[in-house]
Parts: sequence; C-alpha cells; structure tokens
Amino acid sequence: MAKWLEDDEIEEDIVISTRVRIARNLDRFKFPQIMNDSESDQLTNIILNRLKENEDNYKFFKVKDLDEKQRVSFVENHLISPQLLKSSNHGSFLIREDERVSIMINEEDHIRLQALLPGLNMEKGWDICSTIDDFIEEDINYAFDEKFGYLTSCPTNVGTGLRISVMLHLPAISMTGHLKNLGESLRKLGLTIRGTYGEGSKGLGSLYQISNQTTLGQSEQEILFKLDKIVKQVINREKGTRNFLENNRRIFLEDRILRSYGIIKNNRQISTEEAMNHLSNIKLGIDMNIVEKIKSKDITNLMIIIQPANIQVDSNKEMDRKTINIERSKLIRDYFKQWEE
Amino acid sequence: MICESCGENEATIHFTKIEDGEMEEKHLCENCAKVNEKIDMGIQFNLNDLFGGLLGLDIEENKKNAKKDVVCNRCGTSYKKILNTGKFGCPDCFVNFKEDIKPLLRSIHGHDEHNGKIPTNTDKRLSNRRKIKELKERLDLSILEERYEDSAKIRDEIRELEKYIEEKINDENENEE
Repeated sequence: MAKWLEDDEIEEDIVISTRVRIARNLDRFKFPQIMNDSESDQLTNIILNRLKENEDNYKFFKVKDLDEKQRVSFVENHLISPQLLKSSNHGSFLIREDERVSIMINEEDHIRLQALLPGLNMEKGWDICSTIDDFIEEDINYAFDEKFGYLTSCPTNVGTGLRISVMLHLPAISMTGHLKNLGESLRKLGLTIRGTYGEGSKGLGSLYQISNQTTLGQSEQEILFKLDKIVKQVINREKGTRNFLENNRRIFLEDRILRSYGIIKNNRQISTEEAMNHLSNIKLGIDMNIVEKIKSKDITNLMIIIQPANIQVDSNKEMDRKTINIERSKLIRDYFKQWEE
Repeated sequence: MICESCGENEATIHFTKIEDGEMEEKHLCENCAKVNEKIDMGIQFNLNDLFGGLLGLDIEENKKNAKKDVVCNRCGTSYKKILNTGKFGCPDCFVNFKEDIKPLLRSIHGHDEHNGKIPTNTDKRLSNRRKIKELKERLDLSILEERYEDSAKIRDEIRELEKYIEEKINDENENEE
C-alpha cells in the first residue's frame, strides 16, 4: 500500500486525500527560473543543512539522478509535482520516512513544502506544514514583505503561499453530468476543480481535486475554513446523487458496477484509462454495498500502483505501452486474488 | 433513449442547455457528454498569457507616463520579461515593480494585502537588527585595521537602518494611539 495511505483509523470513501502545500523563497536568492548552477547548489545545501537538524528522517533525491520511470513514479504516488520534473537540472526533493511530507527544492519556488494525508484532514495538514515551516525559518531568512506576505515567483501564490487540494472520488456527479455546473460554481467562490495529477490533467477514474485559487488577503485559517465547508457540501451532493441513482436507477447502477468487476478480473491486457474507470465503478460499488469484502482504500491503492511508471519501477525495467498493459492486467488479477475463497 | 449525438449508445445524461437565451433539451451518452463538455470547457488559456494581459493593461498606462523598460536592479529582469513569462525574477522585483504589482495582485486575488502568517524570524525589523549587529562588528574591525573610509561608509549604513527601525516603531505607536 502507498505509505501515506496507511492509516487504520481513517476510512476514506469519497475523500481520498488532503494535500496542503506552502511556497517559500529565500531572501538572498533569485527565483529558480533564472538561477545558475552554483546558486542552485548553494541554495540546495542551505536547505539540506537546515533539515539535517530536524528530528525527522528524510530521504533526499536529485531529479537529475533519477531515470524517467523513477521520476514519474514519484508523481504517480503524489509525492512530487509534475512541475518539478521540468526543472531537471536544479530540482531536488526530500521525502519524510512516512511519505506524508515532501519538500521540493527549486520547483517554481525555492521551497515547496507539502503534507499529504488520507481522508479529509486539512487542519492536521496545515499544522504539519506550519511546524516544519517554523523550523526552517528559525535559521533561514524567507523572502517576505509586510504588505504582500510571502513572495513567490508566480503572482498566483503570493501572500500565504498556501494551496490546499482535496482529492475526491466523484463518480455519481461525473456520471450525471453535473461536473461542469460544479466547476462553474466553485470558480465563483475562488476555488477550482481539476484532474488527478494537477493542472490540465484528466479526471481519470472520476478522481478530482478541489483547491483554493487565491492565496492573498485571507488568513490560512480562513482559507481552510472556506474550503472545508465547501468540500463537505460537494460530498453531500455526491452522496445525494448516489442516493438518487440507488433509488431510481438501481439496475443501471448495479449493472455498471458488476460489469466493471467482471472485466477487471477477466482480461489479459488493460490500459490505465480503462482500468481506472472500472476501478472507479468498483469503488463506488464498495461504498454503496454492492460489492462486498473489498475495502474502498484497497481500490485507491490499486489506482496508484497500476500507473505506468509505477508498474515499470515495480519490475525494474523499461517497457513499451503494450507490455505495460499486459503487466497491469496481471497485477490487478493477482491483487484481486486476496478476496477469493 | 438513444444518444442524439452518436446515435449508438444509450443516452444516460439528460439536461437542459441554455445558450443565448435559447433552451435546448439534450440527451447524450456518457462519452458524448464528456466530449461535448470538453468542447464547452475546452478553451484553455495559457496562464502566463493571461498574466501578461493583466500586466499589459498596466504597462499601457505606464507608457503614457513615459515609464519604459524598467529593469529590476538586483536580478536584471526587465518588466517586459515578467510580462512575457508571468514570473518574477527575484524577491526584489516586488519592491522595484511595487506599483505595477498591486493592481495585478488585486485582479488575481481580489486583494493586495497579506493577512496571514508572519515569519517571526524574517520580520523586517528583526533582520535589520541582525544586519546592524553584523555591521557593528565590521565597523570595529575596520577601525582596528585603520580603514577609515570603510568605517565611514559602514557608519552611514548603520544610521540608515536605525532610522528605519525608529520610524517603524513610531508608526506603530501612532497606530496604537
């Protein structure tokens, strides 16, 4: 199971995870886009040295030391952003032992600190980030302006530098075509909804991220409070739509879920997209007691480990798309064996 | 009912579309709805272009004020480059382009003033005090080494920082009253 997902206390169903991230920059350095190699090394060392003092254990990776499949695998596991891979020369990152904290160096900003937790957990995520933030700042001067707040390379992050993203599984809202409405309403409230892997990515397997759009003018607590209230409303709407489907389209729904269950256990090659869609249906089936025995979280985990780079890292070799699809099919069938008598 | 778009699959999504005041009933299969949705939502703007646009409005005004080709005196990033990339070069760009940045931030965030966490250590006053301490040590050293020209320069720097802090404290006291 993906490490950050492990938590027996939290039973997630609609909300998969909460990601809280803050953007910080060092006073003395230019922003990453126009940095040279020696400035980047210097900055990286300052941050590394500071974190060595921390009691938590971190693993350090340089993007340029990783091969393509390893890089993408970190993205698929939600530990780093796709954006970091673009700065392959200067980018590096630290991952805390429990994989719930990642610190990206020289992404769009000098420091991008993120806490990733299963379920709806904004308050805790913010506490984790803010504590590490305080620790770093004890010894490092941040770029901060009394009026503008934390200064960032892109004007969209200025102020708190805080972005909270909640990942939700919204099959019913998506099935009934209400997603566009939802997107429009959220935008009016200063929030945004997008696909699983961030900006511009597709909502594979009905997974969507809702996050705050603005970072300046409101306090962190206000941002948290607003997002929490609205995410809870979206959850209610998803539940309501599920109830509606159950009461009015029971056969259609069962048919769809059970077909997916049949296909996912009986195929010899399957694409990410197809697998994600069937797994999404099965997850819905679990949440609605149509599919038994399996836990919702097991499917969430499967949705992560069947991603193309993860499959290649798992077997430690580069593969073409066809081979990946065959491997994926095998992996899923093996995974499902644990629920067979 | 069959999907009215592809004519093949069962239509599972039914909705009313209002466009230019005209109402239209739609019956689509999931796939076609997705595709149609994409058509509706699909015009993706490049974020940087948009910022450029926002900043550009201001640069037009600036041109009238004969303020052209301003460059950040620390990182050398020109205002034009920020326009093109939507990215600042360094923390000092915020100081050097302060007046242009305010309307930009207002248009993105609806605000131009920070209202959240303040780093305790990077507090401007504190870091100035730190600088003063360092400068005083350098001053002592320069006197010791009889580099009197340097000493004079350092002394001026210290005075300026002290004046800044004093003004800050006065400001705050006034605000409290």
